[in-house]
Amino acid sequence: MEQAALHNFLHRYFTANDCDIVEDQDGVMTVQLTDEVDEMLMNRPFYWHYVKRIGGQGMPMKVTFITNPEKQEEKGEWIHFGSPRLHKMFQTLREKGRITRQYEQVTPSQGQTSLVPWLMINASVQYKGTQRKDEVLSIGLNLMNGGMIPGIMEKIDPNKIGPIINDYCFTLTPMIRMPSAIKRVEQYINTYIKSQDHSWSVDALQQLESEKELLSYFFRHDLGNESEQEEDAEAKEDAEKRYQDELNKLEERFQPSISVELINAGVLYFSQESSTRFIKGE
Amino acid sequence: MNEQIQLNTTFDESLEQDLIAENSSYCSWDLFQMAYETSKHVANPEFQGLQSQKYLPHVDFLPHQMKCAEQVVEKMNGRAILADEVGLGKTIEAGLILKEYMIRGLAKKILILAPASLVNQWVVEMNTKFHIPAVAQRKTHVWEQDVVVSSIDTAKRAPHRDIILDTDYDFIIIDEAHKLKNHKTKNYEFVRSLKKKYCLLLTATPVQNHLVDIFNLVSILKPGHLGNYDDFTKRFGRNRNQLSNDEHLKELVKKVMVRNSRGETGIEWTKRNVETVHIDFSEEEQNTYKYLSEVTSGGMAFTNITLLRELCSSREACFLSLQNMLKNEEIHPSRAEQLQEVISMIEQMPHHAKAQKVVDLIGDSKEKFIIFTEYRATQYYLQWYLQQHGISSVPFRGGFKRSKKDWMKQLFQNHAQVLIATEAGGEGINLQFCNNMINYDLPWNPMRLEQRIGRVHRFGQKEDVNIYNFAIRDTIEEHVLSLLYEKIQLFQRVVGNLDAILQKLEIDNLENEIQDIVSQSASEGEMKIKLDNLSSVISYAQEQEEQHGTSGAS
Repeated sequence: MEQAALHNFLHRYFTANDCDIVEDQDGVMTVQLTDEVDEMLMNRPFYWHYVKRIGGQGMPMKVTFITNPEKQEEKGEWIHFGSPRLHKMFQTLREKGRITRQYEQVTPSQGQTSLVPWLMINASVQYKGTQRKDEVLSIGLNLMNGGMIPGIMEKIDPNKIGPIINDYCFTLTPMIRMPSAIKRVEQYINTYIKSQDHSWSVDALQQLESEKELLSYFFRHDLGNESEQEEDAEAKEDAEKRYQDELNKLEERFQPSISVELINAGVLYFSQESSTRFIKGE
Repeated sequence: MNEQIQLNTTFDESLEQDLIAENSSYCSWDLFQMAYETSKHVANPEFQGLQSQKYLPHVDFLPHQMKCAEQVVEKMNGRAILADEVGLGKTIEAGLILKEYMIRGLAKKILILAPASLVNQWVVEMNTKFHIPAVAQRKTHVWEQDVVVSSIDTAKRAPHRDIILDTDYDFIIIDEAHKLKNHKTKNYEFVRSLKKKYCLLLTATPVQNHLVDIFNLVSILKPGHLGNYDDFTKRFGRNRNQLSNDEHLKELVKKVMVRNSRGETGIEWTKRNVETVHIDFSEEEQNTYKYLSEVTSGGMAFTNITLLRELCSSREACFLSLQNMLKNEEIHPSRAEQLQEVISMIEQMPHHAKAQKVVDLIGDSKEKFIIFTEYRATQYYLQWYLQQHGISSVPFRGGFKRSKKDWMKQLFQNHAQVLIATEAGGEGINLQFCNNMINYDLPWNPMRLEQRIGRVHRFGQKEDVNIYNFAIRDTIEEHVLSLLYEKIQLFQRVVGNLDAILQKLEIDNLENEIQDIVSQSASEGEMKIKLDNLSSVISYAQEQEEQHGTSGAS
C-alpha cells in the first residue's frame, strides 16, 4: 500500500468507526478514538478492564498517525505497511466487517418495485505447497434464478446501496434457500479450483516423498531390531516416537493442500435492472 | 487435479445462521468493503519471492541477507543452518525468514532459543526491526504467548521442559547452535525432541566441528540427509579433513547450510587498526615474574603457566590463585614456601604497569573504550584504578543476570566511558557504538578473540575500529602475541578461515597446543622456536588455502 493510499485508508477506517478526525494535514492525522476503537487498537486491556469493573467512564485516547515519510520525526505514530497497528486495524475489519445486509436505493417512478435477493460471499483460497499463496474470490449468487457472478464486489456501486430498504420497495422471497445457496457457492469454488493448473503440488509431493525416504532410512536401525533388552525397548520406543513426530511434521510442511476461508458475506437486494446487468456482465 | 492434494472448500456452519438471523448486527457497507480490500491487500499472490521486505520498509537489508533468506525459503524449505561469519547479521537473516513464514501464515507458534545473555537482544530486535511480538521467557505462563525467546538452560528445566515438549511448534530458531554438536548432551537430546515444522540453526563456527558434529547438527534439521549414524561414521570416520575433501559430502552440506564470509558480501567494512602496545614491567614486577618463572620452570605444569599469565594481568589475579593453591591443595612444603615468597613479593609491588598504560591510552580522549580481560580479579582492580583516575567505567561479565547486562550496556552507551568485560561477556552483546577495544590480556583461543572483536567490528559499525593489544615485554604474553598471533595475522583476517585451517592441520585446540609448548620446553629459547614453528605451519596452510580458495564447507 502506498503511503498516500494508507492515508486514505486511515481516513476511511476512522470515519467508518465513528471516530472524530480532529486534524488532518499533510499526512499527519489526529484522531479522537471512541471507547470501542481504543479498546480494539490501543492495546491496553487492563485499563479497560478496570474502567468496566468500577463502572466508570473511560477516557479514550487521542492519537496522531503519520503517513507522510517526510514527517516521520514528528510527534505521533508512523504508520507504514508493516506496522502492527495497521495490521491490528486489518484484523478488526475482518471481525467487524463480516456480515452485511444492503439494499439498492431505488426510487420507483410508479407503484412498488421488487428487489432481488443476492448472496454474496468473499473468500480467500489458500494454496499450500512448499510455500503458500492466496487468491481472493468474490462471488454473487442470484437467489431467485441461481445465476452466479464472479468478481461481484468490483461491480457494485457503493453510492447506490444502503442498509435500509427504500419506501415503495419490497424484497422477493428467495427461491433458493440459504443452506443450498452456500453449497452452490462452495461447489462453484470447488470447480473453479479444480480447473486450475496445480503443477506446484507435484514439486511438494516429490519433496515429501524423498524426505520421507531419508527419514525412514535414518531411523532404519533404531526401528528395525527386535530386542529383548528392556533398555533397548525403551530406546526403540523413543526412536519410534521421534520418527512419528518427524513424519507428521514432514506432512505438515509438504503435503499440498487447498483450503477456503471466508472473508465476509452478506445478502444484498438489487433491483431487477441491476440484477440483469450483473448477469449480462456489464 | 492431483488427487493427493487435500482440498477443503466448505465454509463454517455458523455462516448460514449469521446470514439469515434477523437480529444480526449487520455492518456498514464501508466496513464490509474495507474488510474485503484489506484481505485482498495482504494476500500473497505468488508462491515465489519474499514478501517480508515490503512489510519492513524501515530496515535496509543487505544483499547477502536477502539472498540468504530467499535461499532458505525457496530452496531449503525453511530448515537450514545459518553459518555466516560473526557480524554479518545472522539474526537479521533469521528474522527475515521468520517474518516471511509468519506473513504467509505458515508460522504462528514460535520458539527462539538463545544464550541467556542474548535473550533480551533477540526480543528487542524481533520487536523493533521485524514487528514480531516476541517476549522473553520469565514466568511459566509466558509459554502461552505465540513467540517466546528463552535460554536453552531454562527451557530444558522443569516445569518449562514438559510444556515445551508438548507444544507443536511451527518455527524454532536456535542461536549459537554449535553448542549442540555433541549428541550425547542433555541439550542435544532436548532440542532433538522438540516438535518443529521449520527450524533455523545459527552458528558462526560450524566448520570447527568434527564431521560427526556436522552430522549431529544436520540430523536435527534433516534426519537422514547425511545418512544414518552408522553409515556416516563408517564412510567418513572421524577424520575431520574429510569435509573439504569429499565433494559429495560438501554438496550435501551445502543443501542445508548458508555461509557468507565478509569478503563475499561485497560490503565495505570499516578498517581494523591493530596496534600492539608493548609495556615494560616495573623492576619489582620484573623480579617477581622472574622468580615465579624460575621456581616453576623445568616442566611447568598448567597451574604455573596460569600464574604467569595472571601476573601479566594483575597482582590481584595472581594473588587469588596463589592463595587458593595454598589453601586447597596438598602441596609440598618447599613448594608452599616458594608460593609464599611470591605472595610476599606481590605484596611489595606497586601498581600494575598495564593499568597505568590504560590510563595513558585513554588519556583525555572522549571516546568510548571496551577493555577485555580474562580475569575477574583484574576486572575489579581496573575498575578501582580507573575510578582513581577519574575515568568512569562499568563492569560486564557472563554471570550477570540478563537485566543487569542490559542495564550495564545502557550505562555504557549513555554515561560511562569504559566497559570492562571478562571473557564470558564477549558473547552476545553488540557494541557497535564503540570503536576502541583494548585486549588487556589475550586469550589463547583465537576464536574467543574473534568473538571479542566481533562485538565492535560488526555490521553497523560506522567508524574504523582500533584494537590495542597489550603485551608485557619478555613474558609469555609477548611471545604468544608476536610469535604467533601477529605472524598468522590473526587480527586482520577472518577467523572462519583460520578455523578451517586449524582443522586441516588437525589442531583441535590452539590453546592446548600453546600450553603444551610452554610447559614442555626446557628453555625460553626452545619455546620461542616451537612457537615460531607453529606459526609457520599455520601461515603456510593459510597461503595454501588462499591459493586454492577452499575452506571448509563454504
